[in-house]
Amino acid sequence: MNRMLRSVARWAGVWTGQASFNETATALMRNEICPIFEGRAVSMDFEVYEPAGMQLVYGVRTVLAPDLDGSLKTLSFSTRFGLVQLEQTPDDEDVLALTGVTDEGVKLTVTMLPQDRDHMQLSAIWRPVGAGAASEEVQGVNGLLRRVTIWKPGAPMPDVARR
Amino acid sequence: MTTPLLSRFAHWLGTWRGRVDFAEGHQALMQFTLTPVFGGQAIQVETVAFDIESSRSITRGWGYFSLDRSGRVVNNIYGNYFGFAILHETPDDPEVLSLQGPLPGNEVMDVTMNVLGDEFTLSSRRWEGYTSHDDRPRTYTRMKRVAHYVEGDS
Repeated sequence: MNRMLRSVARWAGVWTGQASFNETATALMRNEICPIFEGRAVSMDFEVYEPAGMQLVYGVRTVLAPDLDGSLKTLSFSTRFGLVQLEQTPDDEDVLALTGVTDEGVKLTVTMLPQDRDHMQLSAIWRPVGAGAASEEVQGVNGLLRRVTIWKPGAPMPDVARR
Repeated sequence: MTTPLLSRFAHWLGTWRGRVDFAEGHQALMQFTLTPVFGGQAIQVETVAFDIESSRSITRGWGYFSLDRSGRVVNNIYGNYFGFAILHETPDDPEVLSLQGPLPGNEVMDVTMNVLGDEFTLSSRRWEGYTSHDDRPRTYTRMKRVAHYVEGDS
């Protein structure tokens, strides 16, 4: 199994936390990570809510899996961008960094940086292809997530609200 | 409120199971599970083929159906035996969904699906992308509905 995929599988569970959205608004983030395909892939359900009304701002369903050459890629549906495929890009050993370009020419970069066993920094940044990193067109969400539920095989995921 | 995608495919949702005859000649038990995500903005498709004797999974797949700006279906798929691909809808009869797209290694995949009552039929083929004719056999699947989609199950 791909070494990074093995690391990501260890992040299984439900992660929640507060985030900044487009550097100004406050948002709530939730990321649910589950091993699938007998451990050969990982699913991630990522959602961002505005905290006042708990309206979904942005949601993604993703499967992270090895391509035939062993490289990690994602298969995703995003409420903002539609169907998206991202590829792993080089980063520090324990960091999952993914990038890709949407059909509409937007470069999307997702970074998941574990702080310790139960904390993770997650950022998703997007900008038009060609726009610089300091461009006003850069948008995204960034925040610190805490693991609130550890995934257990064979058992339904407990509802976080009931804990 | 339904979405344009669900208006067309709501009767496809649920779990389907039946025999698959692979192009290579062997048979297996195929299962498809179609679930709406984000209120029907997309449909998640999970597939697994089991060996009939051992019941072990021999292929796994995952994908999302969505609509592009012109209203045609786009299918983003992953299969552990062919990798990642994006298929686009090609013209066919109204009740039939036909998709085609490139695979790694200069191959092309085409898939044709149809649901009639409680029967889901699917045929697919992989062929060399640089030839206009390729007589390789197709994989055929005929599945019966074993569970309807129930909201809140996903």
